Amino acid sequence: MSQARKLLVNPTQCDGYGFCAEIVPELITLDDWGFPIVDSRPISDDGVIGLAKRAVATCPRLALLLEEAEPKQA
Amino acid sequence: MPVAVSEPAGPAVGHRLLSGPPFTAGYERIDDHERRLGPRPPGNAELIGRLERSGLSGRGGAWFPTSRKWAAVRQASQGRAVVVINGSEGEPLSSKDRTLLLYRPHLVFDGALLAAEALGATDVILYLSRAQRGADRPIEQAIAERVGPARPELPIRIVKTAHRYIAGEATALVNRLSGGPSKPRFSLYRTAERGVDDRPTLVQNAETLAHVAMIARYGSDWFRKLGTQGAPGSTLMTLCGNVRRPGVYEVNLGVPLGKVLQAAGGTFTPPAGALIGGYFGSWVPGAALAGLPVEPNLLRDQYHAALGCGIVAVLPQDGCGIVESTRILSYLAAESAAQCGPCVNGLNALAETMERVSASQPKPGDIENVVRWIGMVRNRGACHHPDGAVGQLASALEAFRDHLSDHLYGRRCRGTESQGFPSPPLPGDRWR
Amino acid sequence: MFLVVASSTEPSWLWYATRGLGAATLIVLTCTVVLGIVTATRWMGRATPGFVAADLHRNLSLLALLLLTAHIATTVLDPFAHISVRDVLIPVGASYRPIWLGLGVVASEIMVAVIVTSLLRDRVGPRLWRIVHWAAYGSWPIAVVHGLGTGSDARAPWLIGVVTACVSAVILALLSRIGEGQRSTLPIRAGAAVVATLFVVIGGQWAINGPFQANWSARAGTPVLKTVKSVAHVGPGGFSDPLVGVMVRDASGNVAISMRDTIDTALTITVRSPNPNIETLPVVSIARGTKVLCTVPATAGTTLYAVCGKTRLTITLYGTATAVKSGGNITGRLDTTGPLA
Repeated sequence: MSQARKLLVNPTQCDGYGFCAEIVPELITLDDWGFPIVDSRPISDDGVIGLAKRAVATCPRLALLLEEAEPKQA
Repeated sequence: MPVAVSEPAGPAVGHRLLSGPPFTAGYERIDDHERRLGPRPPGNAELIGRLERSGLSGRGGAWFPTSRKWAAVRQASQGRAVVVINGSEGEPLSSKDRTLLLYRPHLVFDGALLAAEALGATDVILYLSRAQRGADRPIEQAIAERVGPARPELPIRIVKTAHRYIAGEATALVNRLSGGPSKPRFSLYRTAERGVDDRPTLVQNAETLAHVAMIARYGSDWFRKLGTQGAPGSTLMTLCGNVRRPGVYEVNLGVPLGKVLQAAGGTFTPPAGALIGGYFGSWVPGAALAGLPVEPNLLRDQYHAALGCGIVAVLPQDGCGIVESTRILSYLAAESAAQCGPCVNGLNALAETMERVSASQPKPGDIENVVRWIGMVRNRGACHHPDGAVGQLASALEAFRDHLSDHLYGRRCRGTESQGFPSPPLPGDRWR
Repeated sequence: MFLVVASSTEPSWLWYATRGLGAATLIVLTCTVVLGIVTATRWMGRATPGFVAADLHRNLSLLALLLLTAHIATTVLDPFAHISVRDVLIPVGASYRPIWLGLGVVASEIMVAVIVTSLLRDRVGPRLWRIVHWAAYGSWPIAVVHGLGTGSDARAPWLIGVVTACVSAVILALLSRIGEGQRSTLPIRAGAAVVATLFVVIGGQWAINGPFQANWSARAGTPVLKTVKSVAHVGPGGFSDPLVGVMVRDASGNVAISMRDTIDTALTITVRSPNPNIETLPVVSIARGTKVLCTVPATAGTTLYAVCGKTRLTITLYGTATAVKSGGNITGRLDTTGPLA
């Protein structure tokens, strides 16, 4: 079982490109102004973690971070 | 381990920090200060235990347990910590920190030096805003009094910044002291671990440090003689608006607000409501004011309000909470650091919409947008500026909900002409 | 005196490959830069997710790196210009057109830095990544100048076309991006417009007065290389040697060809168009070192026949159809029935 991760956004870097919401809509939706609303709860699904990693790599402002998280309690 | 104390020399109920010579005498010199209260004890790890037993919480607005903050800095310190006295007082309606620094500076400085010694700090910085220019001379003189061969203390360095609402936010303060503008910074680390120049940093409100100076002398039991179990001690409050004698008052935590208003000479007219805690705080309807407990935990749990930095701005009878709240919201929108999309877009959209509502000329969908945007903006900035702004607005919509419907149905409101409530200042334009 | 690049044989396929790969790298690099500039503008339309444009930009940059590697590898492996591994790592001191080659080294090192910091973006942090990425804006014009300055094809129409297309693409992309934005970014956008204009104006002037001139090869520092062996044909008997040289065409259509015998390297052959008022045939002049052996008329055409003293000469010019149009390097062959001394 791989380590649970959580996705965070640095709002000062974010410029509202919106690529992240396209790549991992499971975790990110866009607000009325195109900025990401990020679900930062722990993720254990490897598929979603993979998408999150891709979103982190695609952000032109390097505004997304994938950090280690405590696993979700059952 | 409680220290046995005799009857405290000066402070009586309601007059601890503010006891001493009258303010007309200017700032209290260090010799008078030490004659009145006794010399400053040394700071050490034991002091942190004493602070924990005293139950002191930060008076900057967050009410965070002071001993926990100190313990975190001490653990990370390794002799490189920085102590910062936050005297910037960004809330326009607050005067308590300025009062302390102008008239009882050595209380504040004692607290800072106690912290420096207890936490292994090598730098003590007094962070001020340029709006307090009148206080420069006395503060510099008071600092100079502490320098000399008789006093082997760390010198206190003054750093000034532009007078902005969020300049006193912890990461904005750290940013400024590290050479940048006074704008908040996103970080995965707390300032206690990585602050000024990435060093462990204690950012403490001036009033909190003044309380520390007293607790170090008189002990935690003495501190707990005032206040309640959950919120011990006294706290400074700034009263303004619809009160006969506005100003800074030292209040016994837990007393009902009505008694505090009485001590200030009462109100001119029956209040329509009041803003508690400043622009970061909450509106309370007039009927609830008299019995409102001046206690941070009860306010939060039972009234969904916040004591914040102790401001009470009272509305006159003909005042309108919707109008005043909108003015405050517009000010806060202009004072955003504009680094985060949700904050700058959300607060501007809210201010524009509420200006129409406040003028009783709403468009269809306005109030639905306001409710949606309040939820959309919360917790999405690098700092809590948008949270405070929308919290203040949401509390006004709740507290004055009957009157809100007048606005929504286009009925004229007298509140726009009311003179009895302080208006927000002009927003600043610089960040250093 | 024309300086001529010569070696024991004609240029190898590697020399041509590296020039082609260089042009290909520039084209793909230009596409990468253009996509980077317009990423934010949703140029692929509302229906396509924006991250597709971002991924395209990234994949093209990797392709550019691949082409760059091939371009550098063929340059180093090619014996023609004697560019060594050291020359492609250190931007100064090469023997072949040092300044212009050095610029290529700088551009390629910036490109590598951009790609490496992007692959390691977690470690590097947003600030450093952004600074290095902005340097990429600098690597592209440097690559263009390198291409014009170092390449032997600066005057070739195909290269001029490629460079013009690339520069136009970037200018258009910049214009579309500079035009929109918040007020707070106005200074940086205005600055970008100024820099871009300066580049076009100054770069254009330099190109017209530099690489597009006939004598650029010499001015750029193309070295004269010693041949492996040089045989002087002074004994009896004819010989047949490859020739290498340049053809220059002036504004009125007059042609002047200057070539050097690659075996008997002291021999130089010049051919010039007839003087319209006096002559009807091209004039061939043969010299050994500084001593002119003969100056005689020759038949016109891509194969010239002339007689020098008792020796009959046949000078064959290769690829002259292209050379006649563009000027530049040409090769040929000299066949004689006897010695030239």
